[in-house]
Amino acid sequence: MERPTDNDNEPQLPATLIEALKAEDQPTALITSRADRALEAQAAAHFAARRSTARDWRPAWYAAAAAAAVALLLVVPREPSINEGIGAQDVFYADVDASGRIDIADVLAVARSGRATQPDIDAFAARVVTLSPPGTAR
Amino acid sequence: MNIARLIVVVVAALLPLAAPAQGNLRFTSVDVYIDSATPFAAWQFELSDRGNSAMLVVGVENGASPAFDRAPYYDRQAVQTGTADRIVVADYSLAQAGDLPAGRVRIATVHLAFSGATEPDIELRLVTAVDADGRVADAAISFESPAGSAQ
Amino acid sequence: MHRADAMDRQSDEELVRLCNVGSADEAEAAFGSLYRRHRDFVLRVALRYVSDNDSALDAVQETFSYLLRKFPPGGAGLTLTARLTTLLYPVAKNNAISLQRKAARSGNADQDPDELPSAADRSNDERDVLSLLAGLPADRRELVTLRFVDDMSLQDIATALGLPLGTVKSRLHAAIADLRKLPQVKEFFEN
Repeated sequence: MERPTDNDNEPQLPATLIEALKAEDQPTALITSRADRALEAQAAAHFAARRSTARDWRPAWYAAAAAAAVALLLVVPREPSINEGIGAQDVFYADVDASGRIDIADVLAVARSGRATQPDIDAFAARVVTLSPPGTAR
Repeated sequence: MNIARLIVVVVAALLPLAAPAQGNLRFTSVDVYIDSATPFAAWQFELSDRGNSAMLVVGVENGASPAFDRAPYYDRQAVQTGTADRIVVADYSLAQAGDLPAGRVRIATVHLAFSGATEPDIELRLVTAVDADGRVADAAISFESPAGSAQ
Repeated sequence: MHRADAMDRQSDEELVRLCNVGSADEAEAAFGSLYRRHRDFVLRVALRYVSDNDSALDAVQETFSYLLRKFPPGGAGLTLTARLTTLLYPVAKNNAISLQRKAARSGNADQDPDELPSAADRSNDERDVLSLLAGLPADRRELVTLRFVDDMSLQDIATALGLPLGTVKSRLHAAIADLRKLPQVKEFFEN
């Protein structure tokens, strides 16, 4: 059998045969828009961890204002809060509508009250939808 | 923590990250609908599998209403790490009452992967749906999937 | 849409870079571009090995899920050392073969499970999609398809199949010699 040596001697097929082969190989199925959207949703979930928290949306002056607020807190004594020691988003995590359950309706109530920033609302909602560890009661 | 407990903790942590064998995954999706007599401003549902299809949620999309036009809230970390064998999905809208949806509305599409012999036997529970004032809406939840199954 | 158009003009290398280190929006858009660019190729590969469209679509989705897991978070990141289709080909092929075999075992496929070839030679799972190549041994049919239908370079074929370059050259040469003898393609060589 003749041994090929390099690409210059690479055997070729007639162009018409290549054309015919490609025509035969055309897919008989179509990628549905549902399949496209499924991959998009998967990618959105996968890369979501790269979304930073509050930093991205806050305007440039926010850092200075936050620093001033912290300075004020250090200088001015304040009443101890029942939420002392809890993270900022936990302040809002409560059964606001007294339904017996903390759910998205409570998030809506906090959002409508204007008391919380968007990151705090997002954090509240994220806690509402967090899956409990397996084996625990729902 | 003794060695035995440490081993159990480590194995339990690793198990969810073990991907199914290549070529064993099938995919499907579920369109979730709320049918509400009154306009609703927030909703929350839980979707799980009654059967043993080894279902995992791989993505969630928003639905058809302009009042809820961004991706809803769900446990993204669980989805990313392949541990979401059920999902809680929720969203709220601050749209004006006149712009809130009513009637039968697709609120989300949940994309699923499964490796069992049969497709997931979907169990869908409406946790809550409320109007702009936080009153519980007279609403029902249902789903459709491309395989034809529906509830 | 503007972002998608801009992304679609980027090279695979740049899109992979954005998937590795870009922001969430950049990575999503870049992955979307990679998917749109290569999904038809993956589908064509899948359809060479599965007998139903749903399985082909599942193979496509699983292939791109595999690609997605290469990128952080969760993955170490991807370094392209060859064309992306070179990486996607064996993944798509193996996914499709596994799905077809699983379907056959559960009795859902057109194919009689007893007629399935042994697990030792996966290339024999290829269906006779290309009737013009019917009669060619499966491994040679695969080489001809990769070279002349998928336009893969010999080096890319070697990488995709895990073979030395010299082996690919030699087998392709033999494949074309066999092809010339097939009655259904003789007229192409004579014209």
